[in-house]
Amino acid sequence: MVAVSGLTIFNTILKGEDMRTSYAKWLAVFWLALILALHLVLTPGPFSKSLKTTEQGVEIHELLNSAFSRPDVY
Amino acid sequence: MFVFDAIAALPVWAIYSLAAWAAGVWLLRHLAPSYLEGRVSNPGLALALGLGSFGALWSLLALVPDGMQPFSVWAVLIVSLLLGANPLYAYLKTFSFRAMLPQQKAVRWLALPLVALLLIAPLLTWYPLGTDANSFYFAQAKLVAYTRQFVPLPGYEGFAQIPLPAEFTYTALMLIGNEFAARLINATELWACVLLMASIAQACRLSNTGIWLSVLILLGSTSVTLLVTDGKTDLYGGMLGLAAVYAFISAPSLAGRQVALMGVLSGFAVLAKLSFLPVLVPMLATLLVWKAIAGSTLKAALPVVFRAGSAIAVLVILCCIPLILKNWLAYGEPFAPFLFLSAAHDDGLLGQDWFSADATRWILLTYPLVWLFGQYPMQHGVISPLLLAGLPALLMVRWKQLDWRNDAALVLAVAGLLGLLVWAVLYPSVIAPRYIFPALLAFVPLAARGIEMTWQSLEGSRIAYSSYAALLLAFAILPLTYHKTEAKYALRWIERGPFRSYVDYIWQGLQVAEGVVPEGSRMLLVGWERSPLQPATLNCLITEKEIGGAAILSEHKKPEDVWRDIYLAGGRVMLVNVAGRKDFADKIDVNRKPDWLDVGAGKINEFYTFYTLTPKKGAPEPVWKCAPSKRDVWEPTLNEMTKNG
Repeated sequence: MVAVSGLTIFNTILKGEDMRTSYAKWLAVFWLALILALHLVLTPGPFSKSLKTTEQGVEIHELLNSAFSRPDVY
Repeated sequence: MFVFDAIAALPVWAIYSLAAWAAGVWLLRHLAPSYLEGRVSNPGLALALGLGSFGALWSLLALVPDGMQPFSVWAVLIVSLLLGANPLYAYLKTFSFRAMLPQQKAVRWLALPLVALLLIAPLLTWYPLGTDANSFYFAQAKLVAYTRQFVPLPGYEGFAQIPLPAEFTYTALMLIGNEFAARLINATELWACVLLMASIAQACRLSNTGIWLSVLILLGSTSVTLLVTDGKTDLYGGMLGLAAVYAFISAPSLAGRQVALMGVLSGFAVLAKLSFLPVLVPMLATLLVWKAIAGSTLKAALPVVFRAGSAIAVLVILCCIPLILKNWLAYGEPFAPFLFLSAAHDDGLLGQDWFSADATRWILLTYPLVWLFGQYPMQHGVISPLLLAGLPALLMVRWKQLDWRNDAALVLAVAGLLGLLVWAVLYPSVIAPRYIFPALLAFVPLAARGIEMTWQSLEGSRIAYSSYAALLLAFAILPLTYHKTEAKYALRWIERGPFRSYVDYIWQGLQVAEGVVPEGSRMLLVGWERSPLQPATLNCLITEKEIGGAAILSEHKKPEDVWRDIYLAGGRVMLVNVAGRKDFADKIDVNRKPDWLDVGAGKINEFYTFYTLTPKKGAPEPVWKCAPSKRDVWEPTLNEMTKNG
């Protein structure tokens, strides 16, 4: 995913294209959706709370959270 | 009855905020009138300047015996309203509310939930206090309101060396109103932050849409909105940090008056939050150099930078006078918390290290994402990850065509990056956005521009454009959903009264223990939270330092000696937060006590256990007691009988 994103961006820049003529526009939408999803999962609130009601949800949360934080380490 | 307290708090808060705004407009008119011209959204600057000036004034008044009085607070507010009424009225006449409204239809939908959040902000301020505010910030303010002058909060004497303008602001509002009024000021500060962010975005030449996107990023940052609900004082600092940045970025020139405003606001910002110092110095220096070389050469700009920089530094030092006086009078340490004449007073406030080396390494490895997604203890929220959505879009910019000299958003982001780097070097483990708001929020205008660029480029494809708008709308609605429950809770708390606006188990623990303290005796509190205590009890608290500090826990100290020391200090009740202070709870033993003392214990709840100390025949007289002073303030007093004995 990172490679595809990178290639898309470089392709856009190298060709000097803007989003109007490039498939980068879908990358932009996907990128924003990805950020929103991460935000929803990680930020304490109703969404992460409901996610954590299932075992799989807890695993997903812990996996993503461990990528950014070490909450239990002082 | 408590509902009336809440209702009564509203006009007091409104008058305070209006007086601060009037004072700010009056000061701007005399200090730097150019800031009042032609800018639609700069009420934030006037509000920040007014609130900052009030904070500085209270910091001076709190040093005068009995200086903090309802009368003195009212006098300042009335004078401010009288001085500022005309300039404020003249300003409001030219103020265009319509110019602030979103112009694009899609942006109006984004603005709706943001405005709704701003409207419920006053209610959110009444949510039960968080741990830090409950332990120090609010309790310190409450104590000053009681003693009418600065007295370090027992148990936090070392921490009280920090400047306290925001806490004194709470005090002023408690004196003329109540605790509800004090907490409402966080709503005013949030509004000021939003207006200042809009002003900064405007100074960066962002469009109306870009300005609203900047506001969206600010309000989507939980590190900002959480501060409204928990009673901490960092919004005051954040507001002044933004005001200082705005003064620098939008200064029409580096002439005397503008520089004076820049210096005063920088001083206020640093005093409001000392951790801003290492980030603001490189940031503001960058902005100063950028301002000086605009339309000039570096060689010609250097003397201007030196002159302006020196003047700003002098003004920052002048702003520190209340802090110097406070720490000199209270501790004999005029340069605390930076330099100490005696090592005994150094609580190591500036040498903070929060986590282990391993965790710190991980924090640095995950920079800057950790500021957007991290969930560390004490982090207290994140900056909106929308920064990530906007900044990569700037890769599409034709850099060769970029006029960086005139690109305030880019220069501000570079300044923010420098501030962030300095922070990463000096305090890598301190991962709390509130500590470095000016640096993190410096990326907002550039990111907002990136989001706007991306959004505009999607106009050709209706589905992509609408999907992007829907995702942005989801970001705008999120803060409301996060705080919806808090708003409901806050409403319920109002009925329970200002003194019950605390978390239940804390309230219960402190109430039960306080209820059994005999008049004239003192209480030892082994725990952090203390705001719900009556001010007299608060002022008479026995501190752990008083009975030996860390030595209490040493194996050489017998439990019998601990009970004896508490009793001699005037203590008849001890309350222990057994969940948080297991070290202390393990040390004490009700069966190992002096023969002349009875010790009883009672579990209040899962967190608190209280102990009563009752002297038997043959018990010595306590050395200390809690007694009213000549000013009718209950305070620790030497027992006459032991003094004579």
